[in-house]
Amino acid sequence: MNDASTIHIWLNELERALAGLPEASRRDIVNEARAHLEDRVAAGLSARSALHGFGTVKDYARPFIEDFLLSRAITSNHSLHMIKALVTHSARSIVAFLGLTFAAAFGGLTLINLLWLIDKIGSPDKVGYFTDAGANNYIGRLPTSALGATEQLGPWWYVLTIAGIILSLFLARLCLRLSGFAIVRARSQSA
Amino acid sequence: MTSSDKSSDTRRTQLYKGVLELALLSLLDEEPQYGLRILDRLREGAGLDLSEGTLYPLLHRLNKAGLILSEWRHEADASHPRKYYALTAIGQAELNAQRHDWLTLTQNLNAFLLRRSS
Repeated sequence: MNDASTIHIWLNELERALAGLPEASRRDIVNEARAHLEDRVAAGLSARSALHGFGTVKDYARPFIEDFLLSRAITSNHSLHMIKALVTHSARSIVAFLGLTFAAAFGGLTLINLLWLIDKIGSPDKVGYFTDAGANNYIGRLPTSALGATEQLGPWWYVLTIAGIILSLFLARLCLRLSGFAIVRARSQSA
Repeated sequence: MTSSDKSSDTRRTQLYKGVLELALLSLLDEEPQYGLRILDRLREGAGLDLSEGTLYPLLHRLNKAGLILSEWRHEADASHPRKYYALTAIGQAELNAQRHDWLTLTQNLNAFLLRRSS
């Protein structure tokens, strides 16, 4: 395999690795790498030596992809984009890991509140906040073993679960956005 | 490579991370340059042993942050276009601030490190 084909193969792999980026950005990154490699080979270096400093395609593409995902997450204000961006950073960033963890926790709370709300609509007498004569408390669906328990909240259960859904969702998104901003800030302060 | 060589490399890598952006902005303060030339100048002139995998993502990030701008130029003596980078006004201000901080820090630190030999 000659130098030109070695470089051509590497650049094709780079283009595939950057497939998620907008075409203009992808082409720009690939063309810049091509220009660099062609200059090195023209100066007498082998393709293998010229490629050495770039590393593997995956390693070279990673910072560009991470940068793109983070920028897209910040500008789009879309939770899914933010989650994707944080997942790519979570292995190397405690901020991303904690952001995702807390967001998942609040996401779980959202789900619990939603299930309670749906369950209450389906079985209004069996779901709520119950207390019995033995001062036992039950939240959610009343266990069949709990006899004589009285529901305490009534329609307030709907209000509280809806408020719980809204608040948990808000906190989950806040965790994602704060983590994203923290990572962007950290990256801008370090080379 | 021995374990002491590896430790020395790790130390240098950490030090380089802190000064690479400063060196890069300082270089572009002279005149617009393209990636390969920037790499060679920083290696030879500043003694920074950095790789293409470090430089180009950094250029990309600084470009997006508005500290530098880029344009493709096709020069008569080149067989293909090259992407040139130049300092912006924001980049110039950032360079001035970083250079001031660095010179102050190194002046104080050098004096401190050399205190016993004087």
